[in-house]
Amino acid sequence: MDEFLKGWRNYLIAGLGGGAFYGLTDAFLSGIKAEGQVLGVTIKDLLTLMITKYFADRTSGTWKTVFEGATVIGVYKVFYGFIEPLIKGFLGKKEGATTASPSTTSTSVCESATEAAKAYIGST
Amino acid sequence: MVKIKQVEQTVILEGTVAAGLPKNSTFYMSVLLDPGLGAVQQIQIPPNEAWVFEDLYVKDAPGVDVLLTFQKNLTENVMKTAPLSVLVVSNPARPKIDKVLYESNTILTVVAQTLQDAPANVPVTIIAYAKVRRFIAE
Repeated sequence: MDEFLKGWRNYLIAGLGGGAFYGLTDAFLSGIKAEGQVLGVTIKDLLTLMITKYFADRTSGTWKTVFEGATVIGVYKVFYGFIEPLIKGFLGKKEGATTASPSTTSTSVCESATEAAKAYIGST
Repeated sequence: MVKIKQVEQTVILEGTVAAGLPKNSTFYMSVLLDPGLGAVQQIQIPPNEAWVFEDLYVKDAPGVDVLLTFQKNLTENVMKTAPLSVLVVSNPARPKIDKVLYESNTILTVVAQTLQDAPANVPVTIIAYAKVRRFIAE
């Protein structure tokens, strides 16, 4: 298989795999890491990057950096799209996930807890 | 003036409808706030806290439909839910409960009332989840 296609295949398998677990949200496309840089790119930026790399590497006769970058993106997205939420879930860090892990939402100053609760009900 | 911390927490309400229990029977639900404390039928709100119940849902329609009544100090009925069959979390038209406040030192109990006869042979477990916002004076 052509090296270029291999690179894209890796990217799609790894990236879409991670993205699917994350609900294919925009997180799939945000914070993409390529060639050691966190770019926070959009699809347009990503395509621009890949096309730029295509022409740049075409002149030097290699696709190496293209598919290396794509693999890095895929691995990055798998970690942040799937493994990290999984770890957070096990640690009970998600809000309301378990009864054992209450999440502090805010702090304020008031006469008493009851007065604060009354003020909250009145404001909602 | 004291510093107030707000904490959102999920409380698990669990009860068992005895086999053959007729319609309109009532029983206390167990309240599980902290796995370390276990499920209890009464919770006294700590003196430095106040609780506001904001939401209630079930994951699946219960085997025997019930509605829940939130009681304060064992005597005062402060909130009655819709039948749990309509409070399934996946129901887009799920009604929200009225916010109900439990002041410091008040006692929380939850009573279930069956809306249909229970099966003759097997008990049915009812599990509901309530979102509570705790106001804690530090």
